[in-house]
Amino acid sequence: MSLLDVSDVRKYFPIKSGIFFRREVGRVHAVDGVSLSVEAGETLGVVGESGCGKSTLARCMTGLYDVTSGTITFDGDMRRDVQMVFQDPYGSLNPRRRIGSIIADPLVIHREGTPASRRERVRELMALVGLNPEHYNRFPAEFSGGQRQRVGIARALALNPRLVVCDEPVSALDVSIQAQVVNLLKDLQTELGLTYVFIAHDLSVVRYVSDRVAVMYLGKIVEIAPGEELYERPRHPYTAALLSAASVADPDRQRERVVLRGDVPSPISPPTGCRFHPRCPKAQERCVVEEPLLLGDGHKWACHFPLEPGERLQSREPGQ
Amino acid sequence: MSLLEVADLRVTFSTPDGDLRAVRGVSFAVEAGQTLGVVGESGSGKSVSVQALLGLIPGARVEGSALFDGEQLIGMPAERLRRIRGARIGMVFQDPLSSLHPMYSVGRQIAEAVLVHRRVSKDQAWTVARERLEQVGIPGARARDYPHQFSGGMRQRVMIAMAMALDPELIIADEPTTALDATVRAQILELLGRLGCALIVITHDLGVIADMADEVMVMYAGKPVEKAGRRALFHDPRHPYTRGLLNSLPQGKERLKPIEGRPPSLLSPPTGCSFHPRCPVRIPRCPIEEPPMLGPDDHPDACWLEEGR
Repeated sequence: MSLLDVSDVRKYFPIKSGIFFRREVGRVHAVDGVSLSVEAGETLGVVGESGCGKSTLARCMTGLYDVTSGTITFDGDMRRDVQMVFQDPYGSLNPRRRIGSIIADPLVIHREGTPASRRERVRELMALVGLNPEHYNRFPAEFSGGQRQRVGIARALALNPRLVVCDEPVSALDVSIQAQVVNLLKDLQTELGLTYVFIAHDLSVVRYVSDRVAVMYLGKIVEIAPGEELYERPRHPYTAALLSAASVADPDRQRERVVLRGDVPSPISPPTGCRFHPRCPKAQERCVVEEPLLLGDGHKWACHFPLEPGERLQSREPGQ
Repeated sequence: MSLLEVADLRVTFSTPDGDLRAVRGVSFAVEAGQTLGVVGESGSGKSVSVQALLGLIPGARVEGSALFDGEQLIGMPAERLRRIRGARIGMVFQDPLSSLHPMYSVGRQIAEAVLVHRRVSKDQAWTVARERLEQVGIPGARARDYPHQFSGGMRQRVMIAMAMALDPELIIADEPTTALDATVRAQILELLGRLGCALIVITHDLGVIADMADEVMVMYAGKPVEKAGRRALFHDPRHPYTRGLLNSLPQGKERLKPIEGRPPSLLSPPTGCSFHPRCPVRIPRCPIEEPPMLGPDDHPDACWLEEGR
């Protein structure tokens, strides 16, 4: 059995209008039928643009959101064994509390140990993530962004979790600091046998940390595959477009022609059929009416007209 | 003569904790039609140095020289500077939502810029506004729409249309793609790439630099540490900081090589070379003496090791 099983999960947020009656006028389809599994010891990367539902999915996986429908099964005690690291190292730490007490929070909530043993454990955790245990009594404002992210990681590790969901853990950090935190996460994985779900929009970081990668678009997974396979042989046109648009620090790379026009549509009323069809250079009539399923084994994609391995996605002029 | 020639620019803020020297001597030149990329991490002074030239940082002490087409911008009366800003130098900022007025239609905001600087009728100004929107790929009919009716990428196009409104000779783009998604980012970079006027792109993203800069200036702790052509910078990085930055990026599955430590406080920058506390190749001289720009004119860097080369 997988460590975590996500089966046809949907999460809708109601949109309300009116002053007195607050009637529901629509729903944001943030996550709209996602199934995947996370195996023990692996790192599953999740990429996608803003609004694709990757953060909502993360919060469903950790139990922070109740799902609208579908099931999430975890092999163990979800509240203890699944923890989360957040994107914003400024917003996710209470500025009025001391670092030591922030890190001790999960221990207090789960009634672990005595005050003395908790203090000992917090010092241990601080050393583990590369913070000076003597800074136990400092406030978050006294730390830099990278150090705060280490505090967030220490807090997530307090209860010896098995699965850690990292939601954009390095995107608020400068490049030189990003690498420090990524290395730390990697080392902790080896040392503690952790399983990660690693959510980010930076494709190169995801490639580096992940064993498998899932690509999301408008609340759905459009492709999922072992990392190298996905990056080298993308089958879904959206994956290919995303990869070609990625920021690469290589001056000799031919600038790819922009293959996608327009923006991501609104998740309030997603397009019919395949959600990517209004922007897809390969779209045909079938894509407008029939929603493709996520099929395949190992490497799965949801597309009626996938790219053949090695095929390059051609842009289509508007109006064609 | 260069279009913009900046020499020994210094920007200082007075704070209760003492003087914060955000920019500590920056010199660079931008030729007509050329793209200069300014890259650095947060607090490196990359935005402040460019905004200060245009008088956009009230309360800062700005010293040094900045000649735009032969005219001195530093110390220029505010009214005169305003004539240059907008008309001859356009600006695109990171966050288009907070740079656009939410209660005026985008067409009106562009037309207004035209009316302020040119003697034209309202109708003519609106015609310019619609033309510019078309140029950035927004139908002219949408000129009457308000900023909230556009997506993030479209708003950034509006900002570019506005910056272009008066055919400026120079456009300054401060983190123009940072708030945008990958697929939209590529569209905006393509658009900026075909503007034709001189461009200063300020960014933390080495990918943007690799994509569009002709010349690059790398900044650290308020000073340039290396200047080079785009290809030279990536193929032959000389300053240890530039190397560290490039090495921090993932390459295959090799373990990442971060720069240890973190950027210094600008209230009390380290003595000597400001990078020395983090530098893996420092020599005894580094903490004592600050290196000037050394090495060849077309690829100088501020590192003492350059003397031994």
